[in-house]
Amino acid sequence: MANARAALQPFLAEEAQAHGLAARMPALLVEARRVAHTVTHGTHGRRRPGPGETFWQFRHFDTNDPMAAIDWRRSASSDRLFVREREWEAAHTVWLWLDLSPSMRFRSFLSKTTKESRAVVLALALTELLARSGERIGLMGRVPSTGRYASRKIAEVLLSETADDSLPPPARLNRFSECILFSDFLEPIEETVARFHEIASQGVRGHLVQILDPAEETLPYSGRTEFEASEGGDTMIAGRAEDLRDKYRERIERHRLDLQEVARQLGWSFVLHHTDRPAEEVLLAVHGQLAGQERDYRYRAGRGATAPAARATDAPS
Amino acid sequence: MMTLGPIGFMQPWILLALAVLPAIWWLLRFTPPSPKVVEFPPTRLLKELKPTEETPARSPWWLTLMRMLLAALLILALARPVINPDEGQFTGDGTLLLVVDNGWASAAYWSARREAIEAAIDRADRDDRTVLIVPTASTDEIGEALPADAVRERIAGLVPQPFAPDREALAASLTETLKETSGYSVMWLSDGLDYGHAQPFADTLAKLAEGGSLTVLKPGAEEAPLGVGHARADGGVLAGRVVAGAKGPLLGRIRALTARGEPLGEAPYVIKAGETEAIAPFDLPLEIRNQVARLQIKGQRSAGAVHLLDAQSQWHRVGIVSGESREEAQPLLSPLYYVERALSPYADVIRPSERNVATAVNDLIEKQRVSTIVLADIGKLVPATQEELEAWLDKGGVLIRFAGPRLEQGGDELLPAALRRGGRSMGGALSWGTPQQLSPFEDDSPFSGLDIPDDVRVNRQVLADPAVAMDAEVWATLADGTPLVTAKHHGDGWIVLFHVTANSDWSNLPLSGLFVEMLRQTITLGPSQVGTPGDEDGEAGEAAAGTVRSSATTALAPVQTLDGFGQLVPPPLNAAPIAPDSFDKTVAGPDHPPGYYGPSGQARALNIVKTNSKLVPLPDIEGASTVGFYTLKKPFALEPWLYLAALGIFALDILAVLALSTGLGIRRHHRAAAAIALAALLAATAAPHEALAAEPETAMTSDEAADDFALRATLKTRLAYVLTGDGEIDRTSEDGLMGLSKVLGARTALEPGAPMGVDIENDDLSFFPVLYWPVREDAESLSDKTLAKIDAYMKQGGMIVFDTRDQERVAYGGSQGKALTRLIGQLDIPALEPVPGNHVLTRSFYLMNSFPGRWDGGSLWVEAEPADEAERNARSRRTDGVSSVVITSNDLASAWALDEANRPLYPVVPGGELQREMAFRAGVNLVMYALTGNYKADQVHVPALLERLGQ
Repeated sequence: MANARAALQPFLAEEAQAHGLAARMPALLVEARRVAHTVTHGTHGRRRPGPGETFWQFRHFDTNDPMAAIDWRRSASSDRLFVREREWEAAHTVWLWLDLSPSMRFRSFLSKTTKESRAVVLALALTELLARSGERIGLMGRVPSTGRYASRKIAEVLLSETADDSLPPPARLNRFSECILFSDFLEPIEETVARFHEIASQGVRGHLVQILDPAEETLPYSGRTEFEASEGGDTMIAGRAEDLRDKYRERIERHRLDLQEVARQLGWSFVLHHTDRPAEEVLLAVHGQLAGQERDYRYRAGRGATAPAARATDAPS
Repeated sequence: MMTLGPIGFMQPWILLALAVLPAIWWLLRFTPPSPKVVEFPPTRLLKELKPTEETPARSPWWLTLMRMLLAALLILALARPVINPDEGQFTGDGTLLLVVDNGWASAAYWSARREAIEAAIDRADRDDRTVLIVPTASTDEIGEALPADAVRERIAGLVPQPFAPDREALAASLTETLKETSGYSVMWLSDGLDYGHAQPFADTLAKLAEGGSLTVLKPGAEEAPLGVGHARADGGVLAGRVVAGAKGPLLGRIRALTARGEPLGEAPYVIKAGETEAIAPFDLPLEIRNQVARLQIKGQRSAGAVHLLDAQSQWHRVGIVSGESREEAQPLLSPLYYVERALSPYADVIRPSERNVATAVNDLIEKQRVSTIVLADIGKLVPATQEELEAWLDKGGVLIRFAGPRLEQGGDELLPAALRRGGRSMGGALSWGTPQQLSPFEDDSPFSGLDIPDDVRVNRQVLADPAVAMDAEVWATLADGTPLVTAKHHGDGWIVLFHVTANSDWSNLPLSGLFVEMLRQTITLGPSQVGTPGDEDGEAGEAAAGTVRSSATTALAPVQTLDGFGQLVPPPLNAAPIAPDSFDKTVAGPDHPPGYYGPSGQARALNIVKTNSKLVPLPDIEGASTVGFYTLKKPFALEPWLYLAALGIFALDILAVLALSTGLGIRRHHRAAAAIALAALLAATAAPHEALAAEPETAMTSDEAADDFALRATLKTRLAYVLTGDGEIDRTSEDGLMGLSKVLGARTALEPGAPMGVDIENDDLSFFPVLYWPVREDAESLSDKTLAKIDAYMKQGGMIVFDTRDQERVAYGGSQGKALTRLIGQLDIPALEPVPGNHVLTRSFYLMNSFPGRWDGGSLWVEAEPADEAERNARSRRTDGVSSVVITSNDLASAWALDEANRPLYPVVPGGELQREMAFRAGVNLVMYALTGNYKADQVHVPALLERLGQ
């Protein structure tokens, strides 16, 4: 046990940070936008009658109803029999996947933290938030868990995780569950898309969180530079790294647009995060996505009302 | 050997290698440095890009420059440069005759002279000449020509002498000693003064130099010898008189020192262009002034730059009291007028305003602490005063009394001799005798040596009573032998009686210059101060008393003399005593070096620069083959230093290459370091120009910046926030106001532009209707100027929203608002109140009960509604009823902050998007309130509002 605790040390800091983050967030209740009968019972109010603990409504007794369902107190106040219905409560399952490949361990001089560390913090904070509202959380390919210790369990699993695959593993997932993928998504787009389709075909809604180091966005190097990929062994010598900057920026932007396009087609959400920004921001964004709030921000500017740039792009269409 | 200004190259052909530098430049510039390796995950994406340019990165320019410098330094070092290359050559092949002026005038720059001597000897050594060195200020025999090495040892003992060189005598002895030989290479290292014999002396040297060369070196104007004497400036103030051996302009300072060498004061002197002397008065109180024992030119070490002062030049404080009341009525006839006029150049004359003699005397002794009192025609003193005077006399005071009608009627005890009642008049209608002349002064009289004008006649005098034994000294007598001035020792002091009046009633003595001199001599008898502790003064007084006669007979032996550098040292063995009568005429020389002569206390000072001395610059010497200045400097090899510099640059280069190959972070610092180093290199030359050039430029850019700021702020209505200096807070403010601007644009008629950050210290605030001001916890208090600006902004209708952002701390029991108090505590802020329920702010756009932000629960404070109707009207006229300050702790901006995709950046606490919505509504209300004022306060809207409220 002592050994296990010692072995846990590397992620304990992240877990503590995740707890701190989660403490400042309201509990996260995943919006049940699709009704599924297969989901396990939980504390999720589905705003319809069903198995649960909270009172929902009285309705007239039906012949199919068991005798025990009759609410005698209510029935006594009138001539008819009433049945007390409770609100259907069901827990959602949220699958997490973290890219733990060597490329995630990259940290440039522009950032204080590695991408991996940030991903773990976000995953654990989300676990914390979800667990608080009774959702079931699991790492992709593992058994989902609930309760107070969910984040600890997940941290332990993450620690034993040795996979250095940069793409989500093929795993069997429940229908109508949510799946959150934390990665830099720098693999070739075709392979990534294939894997996404595999997940989506199981009826799972995905949320992509792309975590990038600011250096990967801006290429802040100059002079004669030899670039070494973290995995795959690619190397490249640039005579003048600064000359590549603009082209590279275009390239990574295109790569991201491709990803976003895929996400859009699948109906998934896409959030971009840079490690020099606070983790809070992205957590809030993911929170919003999961809680289904991103659709109806009333303070969002009306189309064409502000942002001339947006108007310009909209005009041709 | 090639020379380039002051630098010569021993191997000039090596310099040709400098031509290779451009080639090296080209090579260095285009040889790529080894690449730095960085880990970069998206390298795959990078590889897909086609590199646009195949030419490798060049070395950084500063690295190339450094290497070029290295190469250039090496080439220069190989060329063996020398500063001040020694090029001089002697013509002829005879012995080098080195004539060195080593009088006082050469002491100040003796080290330079020494270098010149050594350089000349070095040169002679190179030519294998023997050297004969002849100092001009010396009585030694002329030696023999010696090899250079032996001469080097001899010149170690060559020091400047504290007197002027005797060139005339030297010329004679040179002609005599070296008459058989000629063809010398003569080099005369002169001190730049003429002394009256420069040209004949040069002729003598030229004769010796026949067949050789005569080189004369003289100091430049800035090295001209300086001497200092003493003088009296206007008002009798002590002054230094500086004489220079060259024409001005010259300036410097003179210091006044005590006998122990402690500085008492400094006075600047300015020798104007074309002049050779200047007076520098010292502004010192008398007590201090009398302690001055030495004047010295600052920074000059020579016997001439020191002037010794003796007791004769000390000042005395003399009190004068008269028994007459004629002073006011006929001031020009009053006795004191003559005394005062006679004494004022030499003493500090005090004339008590008190009519009462007793009080006046007491005043002089007690308060003014005079050393001499002159009583003109006072017959009898009251006993108390008499005792007081006696006590004072015992301590060394000098009492000078003048006769007059009152004294004629009978004197008191304080007289040198008892007087016969009734005077003696001569040359009157009823007398036999004629007015008497003075007889010459006896040798033992202090007046001895004074010239007696022929026309001095005495008509009337008082006489000593012949019945009483006369024990007084007689210092002056009339031609018939009757005493005119008698004196008597009293304690340590003197009583001196002039048997005539101090005005011209009884004689015309007071009208003559003799009177002045006699008085002057008399007052020097006294100490400068009476009764002060300190052995110097007491001794001086005593000695003065005791040596009046002895000094007249005994020769003055040297006590302390100056050496060539102006230091007081025990007299050299050959210093001889000086007869006192010829002391004033004595000129400092080998036998009589300048210094103090005579017994201590009454010592006389012999100085080089006398009252009327002038220094005559050395004229242009005819017959000299070369006349040069002391510019001879030792050659200085630059080679090792260049190698050292090259080594340093090499080390720097290694460091730089290391830094370049290890990561960006370090590299950045090195770029800065290199920039600093380069700046330091260029500073000397470029700095002034840069500073000049930079100033107007920055001024212009700041102007332009201000214009640009004003344009940006005014072309669109903008929300503004105060920059706090904390990047995180500022970014949040900007994001927050951006979010609020979007909401405003979407929901209201106002379409604000992007928000602007405002530097509260420098920017103009007047463009913004609302200023959002997040308060840092560690906010500093503001400067007065800024406070005034904020005050004006608020009073002219601006609204500032202070956000302390610390509501969360309140929840945990922390204190709140300290930073705000610190920030605006001095500001004239009116009374505040939490927003009342009927405040315009609660209904300016939305109907609101509370104003949440990121936190909820903190109340919003606004200016309290004035209770007074008149005041309310005044405010609504002034600011349309808008509160000039709004204070919240709810952290509004964080709630408003949206990212590019309009997602909120910070969660709201206790939570819920409803709170965020309310935060936006609060923001909209705030902005509307600031823009529309009390519009919504109108009663017109009350029914509609009531209807909407469903009441």
